[in-house]
Amino acid sequence: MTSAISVDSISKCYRIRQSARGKYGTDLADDLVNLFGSIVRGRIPRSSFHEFWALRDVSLEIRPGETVALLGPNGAGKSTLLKILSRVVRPTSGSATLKGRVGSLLEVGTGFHPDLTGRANVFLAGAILGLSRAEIRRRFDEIVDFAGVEAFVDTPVKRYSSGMYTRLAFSVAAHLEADILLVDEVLAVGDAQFQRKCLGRMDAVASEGRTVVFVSHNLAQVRSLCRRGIVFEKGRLSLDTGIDEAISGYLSSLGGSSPSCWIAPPDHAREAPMRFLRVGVAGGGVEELAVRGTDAPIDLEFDIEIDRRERSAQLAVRIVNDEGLPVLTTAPEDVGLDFCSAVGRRKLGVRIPAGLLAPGRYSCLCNLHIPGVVSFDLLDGVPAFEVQETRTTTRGDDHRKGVVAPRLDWNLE
Amino acid sequence: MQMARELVEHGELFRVFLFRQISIRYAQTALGALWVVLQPTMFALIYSLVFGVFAAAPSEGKPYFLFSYCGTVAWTLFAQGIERAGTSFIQDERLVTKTWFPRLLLPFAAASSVLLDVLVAITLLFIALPFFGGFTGWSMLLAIPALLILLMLALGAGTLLAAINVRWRDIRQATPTLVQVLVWVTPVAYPLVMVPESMRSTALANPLAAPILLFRHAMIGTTPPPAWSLAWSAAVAVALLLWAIQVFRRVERTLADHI
Ligand SMILES: Nc1ncnc2c1ncn2[C@@H]1O[C@H](COP(=O)(O)OP(=O)(O)OP(=O)(O)O)[C@@H](O)[C@H]1O
Ligand SMILES: [Mg+2]
Repeated sequence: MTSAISVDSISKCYRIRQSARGKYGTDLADDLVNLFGSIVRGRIPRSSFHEFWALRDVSLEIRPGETVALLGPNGAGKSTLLKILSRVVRPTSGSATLKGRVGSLLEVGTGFHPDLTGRANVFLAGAILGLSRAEIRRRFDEIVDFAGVEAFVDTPVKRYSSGMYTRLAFSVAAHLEADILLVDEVLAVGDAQFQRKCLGRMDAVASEGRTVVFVSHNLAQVRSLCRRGIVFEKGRLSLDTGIDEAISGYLSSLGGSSPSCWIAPPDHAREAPMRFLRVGVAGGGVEELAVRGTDAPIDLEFDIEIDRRERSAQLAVRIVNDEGLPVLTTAPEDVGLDFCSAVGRRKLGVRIPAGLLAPGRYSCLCNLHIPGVVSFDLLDGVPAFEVQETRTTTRGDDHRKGVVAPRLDWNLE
Repeated sequence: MQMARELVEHGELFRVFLFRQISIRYAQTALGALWVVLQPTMFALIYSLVFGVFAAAPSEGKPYFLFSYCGTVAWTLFAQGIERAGTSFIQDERLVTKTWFPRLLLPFAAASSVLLDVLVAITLLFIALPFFGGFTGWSMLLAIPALLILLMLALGAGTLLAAINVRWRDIRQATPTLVQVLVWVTPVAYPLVMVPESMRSTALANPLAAPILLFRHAMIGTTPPPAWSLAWSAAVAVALLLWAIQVFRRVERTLADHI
């Protein structure tokens, strides 16, 4: 199958000019002063460029109908790649080939003209895509309707709220029958309902066999929309796999994690004979606090790497409520399980029964240690989760007050 | 070649840019269309005063006001054309940094939008002409090649300026000065006969001179420029435009990086 997007070892170098006045600027006056100064000093004018490689040797292929997320920390080069794909910026070397019409929405300030009305801007955007007036007119109502700005189509867009602005911009890009849709972090300003609508629309676009490339720091959005994830790090492509792996790879490269799923940063506890690789609430999003109902059990997972077997090493997990009070401490040893029976990667799980914990927020203290002798790896505060009341009661709020809230067996004689 | 195809494919966009230029200009300023005729009228009045009254320059029997008004209208096409084309990328920075389209459309549409202003000013002239000796007849059509040459000169110079403007922002301030200087070396406000005989062919070497004289000839029947000067102007206009496009294509690559 032919690719929709084919990127062949693209690099992009920005030459940042450092002028005498210490600003990034491009004034002829500065250049002349530099030139003159150099001549006076009898030297060949030396360009005062500072080179910056925003992308380095990136190659990838995207097939028609794929939904791809570009992930990476700030400044990794994601937007630069999208700009190259949409031809706004030319690569310093390498080439990109795109098949079909490309619709792009690069960052929040799209190509709208503030003085023009919403209507005129829709036609402008369509014409930029290379559509004829008739084609745009056919789609016009749908676009305005989706954006929900009917009442404002004849108002200059500079009077729009930033949310409305984005809604219209997104709507135009998503409805104008582009074969490839490039979207860069634009949904952030829309409200939650519109964000959901946009994701739905992008889903629909993808299922029509069109290609979507999406950049967002909202990992929940990324996960729900995209099948494939490509991670960038300092301008280089570092990972290109399925979306779940890409997200966890990205998070671990950050060394950062979220409350409900902690992932070890690269050199975590290297010198210890065993260490945590990942601890988390099962099924919890990587990025948000996992929330469980009082009627459901909570599964905690622990990925541990063991380099060397240590006799009498233990794993202990303490659950602490939001007042800092230890609710319980549990360990595999409690049930006679020796997690340290072999070297390598081990996966342990423990289930907190439904209804045990009272509604509230909890975090854990996880310790890999030889009790009273040495602690190999200690994590404080992860994983965290929240328990919410889901069982209805007839009595007031206080009726189940307590650190734990199990339903106990009552009997009457 | 690919460039030409892309330009054609985006014909609709050219139209949108053109209408946008016009609607913003006419909708936003309170005086709107009035401003378009007010400006050449004011200049023509001043020129009539200075040259017609103070210097008593000959105007081939035509009212001096009419004489200088014709010159100013034709001049507007060039002056406004390079001004608008020259700043077109900076004005539309957001479009240029966030979307792709054949970049050349922007300065071209900006310069072409002046044609409407010129048409409005010519309409006013047509209303006035019957009171000042009537129309010139078929030779009126010579206004079309005259304006065409001026437009090409404006496109060429404006596109070059647009490209340079992106690289060095401070060039922008120099444009009005350049236009001011040019207006005095071109027979806009004064007749060619005021130029000493020995310098006349030098004056006509200025490619702007012949089309202005031709336009005036077409409108009120003054002496037309010699044929060689017209051919020269047309040749310079075409060459300048082609060269500007060439330069522009090189600058285009890095346009969004610098803006
Ligand atoms: N026009 C420019 N001139 C100089 N440097 C630039 C230019 N545009 C981008 N850069 C640099 O290129 C690098 C990559 O930027 P890019 O916008 O692609 O990052 P990103 O991955 O989109 O980041 P973010 O998550 O913050 O959006 C940054 O370090 C930025 O400073
Ligand atoms: Mg970005």
